[in-house]
Amino acid sequence: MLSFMRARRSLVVGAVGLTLLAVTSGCATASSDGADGEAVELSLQIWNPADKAGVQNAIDAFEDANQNIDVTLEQVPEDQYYTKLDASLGAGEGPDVMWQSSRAQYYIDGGAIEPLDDYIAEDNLDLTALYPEQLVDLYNFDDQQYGIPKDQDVWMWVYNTAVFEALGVTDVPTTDWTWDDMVRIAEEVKAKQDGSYTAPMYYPYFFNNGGVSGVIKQLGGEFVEDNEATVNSAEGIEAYEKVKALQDDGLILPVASSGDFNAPTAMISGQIAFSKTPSWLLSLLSTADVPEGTFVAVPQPEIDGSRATDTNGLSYTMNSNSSHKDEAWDLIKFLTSDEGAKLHAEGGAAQPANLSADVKAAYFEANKSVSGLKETFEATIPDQFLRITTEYTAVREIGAQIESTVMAPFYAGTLTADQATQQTDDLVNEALSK
Amino acid sequence: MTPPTLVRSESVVPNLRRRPARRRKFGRRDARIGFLFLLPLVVGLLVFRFYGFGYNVWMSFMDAGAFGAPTFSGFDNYARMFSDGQLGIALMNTFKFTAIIAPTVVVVSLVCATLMQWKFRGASAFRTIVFLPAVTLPTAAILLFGWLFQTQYGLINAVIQSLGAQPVSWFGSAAGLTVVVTVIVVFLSFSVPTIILYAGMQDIPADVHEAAALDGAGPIRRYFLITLPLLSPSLFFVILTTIIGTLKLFDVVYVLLPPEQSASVNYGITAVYYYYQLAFLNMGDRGYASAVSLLLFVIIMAISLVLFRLQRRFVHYGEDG
Repeated sequence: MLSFMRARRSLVVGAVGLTLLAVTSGCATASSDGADGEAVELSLQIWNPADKAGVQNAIDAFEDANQNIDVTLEQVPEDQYYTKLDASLGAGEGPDVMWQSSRAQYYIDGGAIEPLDDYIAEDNLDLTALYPEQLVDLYNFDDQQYGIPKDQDVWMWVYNTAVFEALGVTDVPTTDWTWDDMVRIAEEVKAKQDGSYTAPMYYPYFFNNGGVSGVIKQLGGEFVEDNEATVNSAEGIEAYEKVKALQDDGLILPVASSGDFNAPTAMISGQIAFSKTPSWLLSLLSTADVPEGTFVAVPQPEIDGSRATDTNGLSYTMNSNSSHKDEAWDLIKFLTSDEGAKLHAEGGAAQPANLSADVKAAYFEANKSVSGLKETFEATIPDQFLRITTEYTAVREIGAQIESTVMAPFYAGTLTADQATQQTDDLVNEALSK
Repeated sequence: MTPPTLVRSESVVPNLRRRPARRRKFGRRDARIGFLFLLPLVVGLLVFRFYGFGYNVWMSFMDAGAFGAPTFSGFDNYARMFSDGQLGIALMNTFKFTAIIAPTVVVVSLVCATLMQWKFRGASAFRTIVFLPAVTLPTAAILLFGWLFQTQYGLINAVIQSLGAQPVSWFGSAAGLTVVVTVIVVFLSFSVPTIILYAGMQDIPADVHEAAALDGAGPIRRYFLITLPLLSPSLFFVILTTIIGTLKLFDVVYVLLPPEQSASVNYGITAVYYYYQLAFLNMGDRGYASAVSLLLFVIIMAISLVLFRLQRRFVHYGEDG
């Protein structure tokens, strides 16, 4: 009887304990040590898995140089990255250092990101000498600098020499090619492909991010002027029609069939001959198990003398609730320094924003299996423009809606180019008015 | 006949009086302990259900992003629904999936439950196969079906092409995607209803079937006039839970049409997927997302009430019911 009573008492205590644990576990604060000289734990949150190896390289070197600092790198899938960040930053926690992109202002307005001006001044850093000014300015709000540029996006073309050779097509993309050359080559590839191939090439059919918006710029058009969308213009309509013609002529997959299409995989397997490719996916091609020299890079084909492609750049930012701001700054400074960026570049993923010749050389070396890269970047970067969702962050809200309610029916033939550009303007204006 | 002695009687009375007092004391203590054991569950319900629901209602009257303090916006979020074309697309897709998937799940489950009653070679294997989807990781199954239906390299299109037909763009049209979603949801959903219906069939008294057989009713007549009516409580439960589950469909369309494939997303976006887009993608529109989730709650509640009304007419709980 006594043992029964004891057992029952233990059970009751256990139940109460479990309840208290359940209630209080959600209230645990972020781990961190504090006192000077003691070990400090920092956390760094990123999203691109392709970048993980390079970032870890740089972290290892940082930890070697700072024996009292331990950095935990957490890679969160991109579609969950901001959800996790919203929850943790909203609770006054979150990583000490994190990647930010065109959503940065949102977190800055919410007071979650620390201004870095004092640290920059203390270390006498001249950011515009170290990184492209366009990217530095992206993270400057109300004359305060909140982020240090991490990378710079570059859109390029890559072709698979093995496919061209197998098909007997000698007319290959070149550094001075034009849009008409691209169409001509794709038509020849198509004529020689049999049913075992998917399509001659891949062109991003999206409005934003490597897609139609770049063609508008190449034709001399604009998306927004005086805070009013201007896609419904002669240049906008022509750009929409140019990309749709690629689909209608069978030079790219029908957009309706490309929902589950993966361009880098198709390039590696030789299902397509050439593809417009972003720098952040380049390592998938450069590390593919194919003979060296299989992939060759060239810039965007010229239209009316322009090779305009969009760009964006991520940055490293500091959590304003970090318990170790000095150490977090040390980490940011190292990751974006010549040494840190070089180590990152050796991982082969995104092209570092750091302008040092050594860093650029490390990036080209890491991706040397893709030939023509240096010349391609030199021809592309001068004509770059800020992605519409980067320059007008409100447009990010309706980006997916433009693709699903305008671009998809346009490619399906249920909207004309005039209607599609007008509807794009309506959505962009609605976003800009908020 | 000697009456019981007074002493014994007296000794019984106080005992009888004391016993209820002890029982009450013991009962209160037992109840306290019982409540303590219930505490984790009750706290969980209070925090994650009642507080969550109340917070959602409160949020639906707010203009709230994913980050920062919300501001009161009255009925703006509810008014916005009337001019939101994307919500209309999401609701239409949801109703379409429910109208196709729910009856398919019920029919497939009913057929499987009926077959499980029969004794045939391989019956045990059949039962195992029927229950296998219930213990399959849904995401793995969805990805597997996604590869099978893949437009360029999928096995299904390979078979179609080997028969001389053109490959089908399963993810590039509303019709194609509806087929894929239906196949996957039915595969993932029919096991548990099958077990419920099978258990319901076991509860039907054998003598009812025997009496009908003696009256000359054949097996098909007995199935439709005895089995189905007596199975109606289980059928009602299966229909209700399947409809509610399909109205809340999210994982299948999310995995098949991830947010970055936005060109095809309107072919399959459901109310819950739209809620997810609003609440968790881009800048977050959580006030409006909450209003959308409450609209779905009202729709599910209304459909459930209609079904409960209908059960009075169509569901037979036997003589006691």
